[in-house]
Amino acid sequence: MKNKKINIVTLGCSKNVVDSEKLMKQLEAGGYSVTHDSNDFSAGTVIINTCGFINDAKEESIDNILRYVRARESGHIENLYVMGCLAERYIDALQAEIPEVDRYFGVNNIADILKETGITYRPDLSISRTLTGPEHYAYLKVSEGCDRSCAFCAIPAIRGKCVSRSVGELVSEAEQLAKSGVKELILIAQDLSYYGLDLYKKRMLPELVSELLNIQSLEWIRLHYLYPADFPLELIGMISENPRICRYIDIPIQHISDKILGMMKRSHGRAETEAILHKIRQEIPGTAIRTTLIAGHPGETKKEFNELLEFVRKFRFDRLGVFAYSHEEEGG
Amino acid sequence: MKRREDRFFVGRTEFDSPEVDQEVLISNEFNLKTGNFYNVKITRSSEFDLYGIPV
Repeated sequence: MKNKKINIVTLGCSKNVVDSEKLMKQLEAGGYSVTHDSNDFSAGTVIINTCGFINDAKEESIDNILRYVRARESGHIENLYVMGCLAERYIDALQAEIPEVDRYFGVNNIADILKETGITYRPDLSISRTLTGPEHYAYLKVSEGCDRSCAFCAIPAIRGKCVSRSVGELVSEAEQLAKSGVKELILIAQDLSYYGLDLYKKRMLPELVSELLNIQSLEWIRLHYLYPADFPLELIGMISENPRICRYIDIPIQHISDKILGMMKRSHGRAETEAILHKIRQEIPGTAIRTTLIAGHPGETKKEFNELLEFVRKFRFDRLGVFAYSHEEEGG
Repeated sequence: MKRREDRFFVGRTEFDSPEVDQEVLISNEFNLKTGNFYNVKITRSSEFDLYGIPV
């Protein structure tokens, strides 16, 4: 390749950001100069890390691919690659519809992408990353995939079942991040509540958090996010006793009506949801409770919507994200 | 303290996560350093953000 510069464009969630950061580290170790800029068209090679979740995000990913296809026609771009969830999910359609892309890669195949750029994957750098955000905070992805089968969600179809990373590996990665200046570590996964069950046959989030607290330069540890059913209750005591774990509970309940929760194939009903929310509010004084809700799920009538509205009014979440239902072909 | 913009430093509280939650804006006349923690007194608010001064 003539131009030894690679630009990575990351779309979608923080989990994608982590994948891009690991790829960037490997590319730099292989001798490339790497940028992370969605408006940089000067690199010889461009890799777009896409999102395949809900329609707006898919459109944004496709728009960005087309932007770089057009830039390539008139500029310096020699190689254009597309990776990530959209490519994993729609590789055949993408190859047929946008053949100008040199190659599509799905998820979890960093070694193949590196091979395409002429370098070999280095296992010794598996926990190393080139941070793309401010250096004082970073995400730590504790697992891949999800074992839940929520009706509205295609993540398990794209990313597969939950695969937890070991406590030891995560602590090593966190130590590296702390050494490079990270003060706030944000734990992410499709479902933190599940962490460890596949690998250790038990839920291990409290143990993982305890180990991470031993890294003294981490001033804040934040958890994103905790599924309401199987919420690790041990955490409640830990958070209320330890000021370094943010009093911030992100618990996506999606709805409150038993009928809709059933149709969503969630494993919690209204009573369990209310019980855990009240327990958190009572036992961790001052905590911010964040949730996300879906409005307009199939089967929702005015009656269930009003039930949800009434609940939101009464409970008064501290932070709230509300999304209109977006149909997924491969929901659970 | 997250970053410096034209007129404000942009920070976050313990109760806010990057990208998804609100921010705390502090006038850049104060001598603050990005990446540090500060105690801030909230003086006013807008639709989505809080404004404050270091104490």
